[in-house]
Amino acid sequence: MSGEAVKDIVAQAAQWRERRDGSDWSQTDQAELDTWLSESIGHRVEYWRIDAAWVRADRLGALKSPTPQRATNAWRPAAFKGIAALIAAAIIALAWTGTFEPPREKTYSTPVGGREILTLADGSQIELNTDTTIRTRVADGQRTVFLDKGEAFFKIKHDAAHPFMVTAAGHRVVDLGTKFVIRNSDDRLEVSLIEGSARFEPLHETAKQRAIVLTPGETVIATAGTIVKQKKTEQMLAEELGWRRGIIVLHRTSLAEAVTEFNRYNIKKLVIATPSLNRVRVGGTFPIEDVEAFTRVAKQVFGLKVREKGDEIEISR
Amino acid sequence: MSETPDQGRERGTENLHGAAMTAPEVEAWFVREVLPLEAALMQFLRRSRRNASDADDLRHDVYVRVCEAAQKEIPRATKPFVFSIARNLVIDRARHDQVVPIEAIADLEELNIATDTPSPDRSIAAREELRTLQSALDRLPPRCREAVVMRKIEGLSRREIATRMGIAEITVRRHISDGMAALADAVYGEPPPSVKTP
Repeated sequence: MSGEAVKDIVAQAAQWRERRDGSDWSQTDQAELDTWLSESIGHRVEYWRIDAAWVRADRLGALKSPTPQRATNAWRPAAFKGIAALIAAAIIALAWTGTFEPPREKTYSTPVGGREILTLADGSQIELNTDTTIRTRVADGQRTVFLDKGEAFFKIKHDAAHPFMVTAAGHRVVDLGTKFVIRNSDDRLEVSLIEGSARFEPLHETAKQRAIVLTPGETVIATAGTIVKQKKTEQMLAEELGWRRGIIVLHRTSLAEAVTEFNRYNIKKLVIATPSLNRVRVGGTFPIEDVEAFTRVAKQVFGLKVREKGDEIEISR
Repeated sequence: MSETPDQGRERGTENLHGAAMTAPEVEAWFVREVLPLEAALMQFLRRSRRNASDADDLRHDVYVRVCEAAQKEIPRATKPFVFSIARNLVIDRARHDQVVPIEAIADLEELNIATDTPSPDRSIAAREELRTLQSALDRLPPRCREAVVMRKIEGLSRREIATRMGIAEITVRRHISDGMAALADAVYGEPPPSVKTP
């Protein structure tokens, strides 16, 4: 940084700008301003910024009352309020979403590291996480989605006459007015309910397995032969849904799990070369596609070695 | 698939590449592409530094570095460029203070997503603009606001304002220049006033 305090540069820039507006602004004044501007790029950026804001403020002229009543000093705030109300009334919240009507069955997928939001014709939204494939059948009152692999967050417009169904790994989630997330990985299916209610049921009901009605905060984990129901706090769910905001949240997570999580999103895979490191606990919030932010912490905080080897990044002690 | 928001590239920047940039070219680019990122930038800088006053200094340093680079060549993608400079500065400072800015780096990513959302249509944008300015104006200190309103909205001269406010012309000038600096902070540095969504 230069020796000048930023505060002073900003103040000077504003003083110059104010001076320039005067009717007595002369060529000499302009030359002086030019000199000041040429002294440093720091002067220029602050002057440009102040000038741009001041020019933008010309729009405030739109607030000028056509017949200003200058009798009292109090008219202005009142006029502002009235106009503010008009503006507020005029603002129509505009949800800019691409609504479309898919044909009978349509497949959508995201690559590793990808994330997409689908808006169905009925207004329901499906947010796909990394490496995910879904098929939708939304037509003639039927609303069925197949989550073939990966993870998706569902925000469903409830319609009692046309239940929304998601089928994944031999199970079905039937929405009863809901937000939920489903993750279908190789060996397990996990469904967490965020809001509303939903029913989790096997595709083909057997004597052993019956439907489970989920309430907010509940998670069902189905693996080959077992189904476990868990309760999760709001915070846990929010952290697990960090991907929707592009982040990974780790809380005393083992390095092995952290690495698995990062590898879901990145082509360049992290590998732990020293087995004893698997159990090291790590914490923090990281950008999802920025493995470097994570390896930097591994290096700087844990003093680990990080080495790039082709398509892999090796972490060792 | 869903919409992929354009990365905010302005048409017309392309042909500026290659040659050394003149000050007006840099200024035009800076005002058009860099200043609109300031709210997100300030949010990032404030979260990443313990001391809030650092954020203003860092903002200045970011702009200086960004424009130094732009004098040689206008960067192709403004936002990633600005934020990578900001991130490097934060990391440098953090390294200096021996703090690892994990949250700071994470926030950067969050902000990227937030600022990538498609912008509403033009008429909405114009009303938004007026709202932003209006709320910036509302936040000025009362005397300062009074002077700015008379100057900007009523178009009065310094002398007329001085007479009306019963103060010296030099004080009017100070109120107005203070107001300019505060407006710039409010217009660029603060997130826009919230709009209710259904």
